[in-house]
Amino acid sequence: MINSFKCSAAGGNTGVDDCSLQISKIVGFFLVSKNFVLSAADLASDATLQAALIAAANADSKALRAFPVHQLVDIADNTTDPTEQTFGYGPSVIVAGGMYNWTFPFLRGGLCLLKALKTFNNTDTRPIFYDSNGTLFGWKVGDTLKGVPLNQFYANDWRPNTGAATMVTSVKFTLNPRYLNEELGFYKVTDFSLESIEGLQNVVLKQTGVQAKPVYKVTAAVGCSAANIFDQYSVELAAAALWRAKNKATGAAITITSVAADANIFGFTVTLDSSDTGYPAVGSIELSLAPVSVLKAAGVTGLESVPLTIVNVA
Amino acid sequence: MKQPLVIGFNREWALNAGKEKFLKHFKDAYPGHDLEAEWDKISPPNKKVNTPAVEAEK
Repeated sequence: MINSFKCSAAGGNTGVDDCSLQISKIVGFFLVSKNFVLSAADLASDATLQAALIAAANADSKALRAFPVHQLVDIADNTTDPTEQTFGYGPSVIVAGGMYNWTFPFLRGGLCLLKALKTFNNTDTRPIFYDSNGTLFGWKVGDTLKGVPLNQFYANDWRPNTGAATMVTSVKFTLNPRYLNEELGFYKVTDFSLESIEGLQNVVLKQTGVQAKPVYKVTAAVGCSAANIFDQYSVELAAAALWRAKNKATGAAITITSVAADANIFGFTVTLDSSDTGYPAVGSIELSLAPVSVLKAAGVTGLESVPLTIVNVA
Repeated sequence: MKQPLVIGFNREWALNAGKEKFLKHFKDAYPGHDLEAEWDKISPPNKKVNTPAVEAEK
């Protein structure tokens, strides 16, 4: 359960037991929405927590999804000191607390990950952090764990390699310390690695070859290196049920009549029903793969497609 | 020209469309492919069921 580490009872007593909780190096985080919650049931055990995090990382809806970032390599702690007022006779008092200001460089993922993280700039995204000892920590609300409200999340512009230092990609968090002090929530994981919870990768669909509507030939590539996934998923993705087509102007679904794994193009031949009322003889069609959960059930894991716009001309 | 490796037909659409429309719809998408055989996979031809009358004929 949340906060099961057996510290001394609350209430200001200062006696301590034989062990103490120390937050070690922060090595990763999950970005979540303000409505995201790890419930008491999710936090009942390592197994339930693992299942909840995997489900969250693979959620169909981005509003419910957790976006993992792992292998942070450093921290620049620019936490501001509390504001102190000194009186004429000498005494001083703290009048306002400081503000956590943390910048984490990362190497794994590089520019592609940075580009993805920049889409969270100027949004109300919230982190749940974890340290090198497997302590997941964030904002405790009742018996639940939530993402920490931030003053700001900012994925910084990359800094160039100077010859003495490598290119720097980094993210910055500024937050009120009370969320991780008085309102700290944590869970110590022992049976699995939080780093094993991977985020989704984008599948980019591209048209290829000569189009002869309603037959469309596309390739599917993943990741920064644009690796073609034909070899890995040609059999699984040769299924009409794993694709979606809709009229881009009206949103009307268009029936897909077949999908073939096509070795001629190292991609897929997608055939639509041109007699479907949603099908535009002239106009734009949005083609994509099925939602994450449908793909996962068919054995295509960790992927979400970016919709492809196909333009039918007269 | 190499033929497609695997074709995933929308079975529900195919059964609603019927054989003639199925063959016409896909003849340009999969030229030279045995669409009759694909149709038979989706909607197998009727086989003579072993009834007492059939058995009596033997």
